[in-house]
Amino acid sequence: MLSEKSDWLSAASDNQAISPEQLDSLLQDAELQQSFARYHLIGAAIRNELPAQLDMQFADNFASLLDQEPAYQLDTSTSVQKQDTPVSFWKKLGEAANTGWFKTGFQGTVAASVALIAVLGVQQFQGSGQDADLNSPLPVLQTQPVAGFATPVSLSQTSVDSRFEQEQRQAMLEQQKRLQQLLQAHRQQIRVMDTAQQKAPETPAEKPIQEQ
Amino acid sequence: MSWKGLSSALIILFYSNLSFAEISGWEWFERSQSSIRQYNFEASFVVIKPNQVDSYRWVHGVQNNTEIEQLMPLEQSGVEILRRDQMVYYIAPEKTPLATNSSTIKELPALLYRDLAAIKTLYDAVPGGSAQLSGRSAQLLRLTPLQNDRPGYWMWLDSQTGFPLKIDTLTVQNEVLERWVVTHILPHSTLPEALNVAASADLPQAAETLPTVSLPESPLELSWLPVGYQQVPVAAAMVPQQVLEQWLLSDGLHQVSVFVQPGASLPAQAFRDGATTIFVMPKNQFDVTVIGPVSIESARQIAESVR
Repeated sequence: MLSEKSDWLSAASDNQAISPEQLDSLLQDAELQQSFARYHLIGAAIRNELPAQLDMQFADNFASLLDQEPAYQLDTSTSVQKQDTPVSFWKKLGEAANTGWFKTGFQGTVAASVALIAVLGVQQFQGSGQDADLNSPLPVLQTQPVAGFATPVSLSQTSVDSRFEQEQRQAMLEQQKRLQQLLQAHRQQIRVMDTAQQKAPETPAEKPIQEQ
Repeated sequence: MSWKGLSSALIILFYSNLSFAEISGWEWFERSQSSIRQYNFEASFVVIKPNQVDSYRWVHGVQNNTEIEQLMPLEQSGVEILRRDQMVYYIAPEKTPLATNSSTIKELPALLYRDLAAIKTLYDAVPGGSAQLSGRSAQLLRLTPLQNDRPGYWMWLDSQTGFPLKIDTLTVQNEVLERWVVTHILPHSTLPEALNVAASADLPQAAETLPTVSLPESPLELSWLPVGYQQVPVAAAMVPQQVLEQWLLSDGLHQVSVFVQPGASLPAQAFRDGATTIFVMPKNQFDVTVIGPVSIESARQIAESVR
């Protein structure tokens, strides 16, 4: 009987299914519960899963240690009090960030600030160096777009399908490649310009203007 | 008393005349243009654009009244541009050399080579103060465009020889777009040794390498050109394949290319490569691209005028 009892108990501690009657008896019999806990402990020891310290009174000990700690008086100077405010603000922000309206608003803010930086960048590009000293280093500019690229800043913008975005980026890359080729072609034409002019002196240069 | 006053007035007049008789802007400019044609020298220069720096070695010499000039981009190995008097050769590895009839290497600042009369119709030359540049005294010369659409140039010329040491290309707002700076210069009394081979090398004729193909007639036209610009013929053989039409405009100093391609349904965009504006705009079922040293506004106007 005992061995029979311990069989299913042992099986149960190995995560095997038990019948409802067995569960009932386990819930009622304190002795069974103890051996169940023991089996689990044995199993944990075999699987090398024992906690480093098996002190069941750990929490109590810790509480008594805490009691023994000297109580530090909080400094009430203003500098410390000031630190208090941002923390609570960020905490609040963190809580608020999960609410619907805030999420949308925050995304809008991000989009708007990106747009603002883009606009500022362009303005800086156009406006910088106006009264720069002659000997100052050249303002660092990119071969950057100075017009176009105006994407509308709206909430729907954040939910654009990423596949579409990728396609667009691909198209932009191709465009860049094409422009690079044209720039080369432009340079090439300038190189042979004099020859072309000598070769075709009879070509009317005013061809486009005659319409006007 | 009055005699004294008169003489002092005369003296003042004399001195002020003398100071006005100092070298004028265009004289400085002419000096600069002739210096790069007549001296034997080896030089290095860099072209600084906002997002890139290109460095070149530049050797020039005169032998038997013939100019020999060599320009080598230092970052591209094997590429070499060579000019012997009226012929310019572009030599690159694994490519047939391109030979073209020209008295200038177009990769050098056009300002230094173009006809003075043509430049005078576009610019005003005003000498500025002098400055120290690479250990030499340099004279500033400002070329201000007569029409707002052209870039301005500030040139720093060697005070003794007029040799260009630095050229800034600026917008109307005096914002530097591109900077050309000589980083090293070594004068020679005779033809620099580096050019000895080039002087005697056997090089192809222009006709051999530039086939005469004519572009198919297209119904497209340019109906507006910026002030001072004229259409010049393009070498049809050089027009990229997917381009339906290319026009080349020139004002004697600057060149603008206009390309028409099948549309790629992208929005209008503008880019800047140093002083060169690249503007692309969809127009009907085509994409019109304008490339040249013009403002974006002018580029747009040119593109709009394609029909």
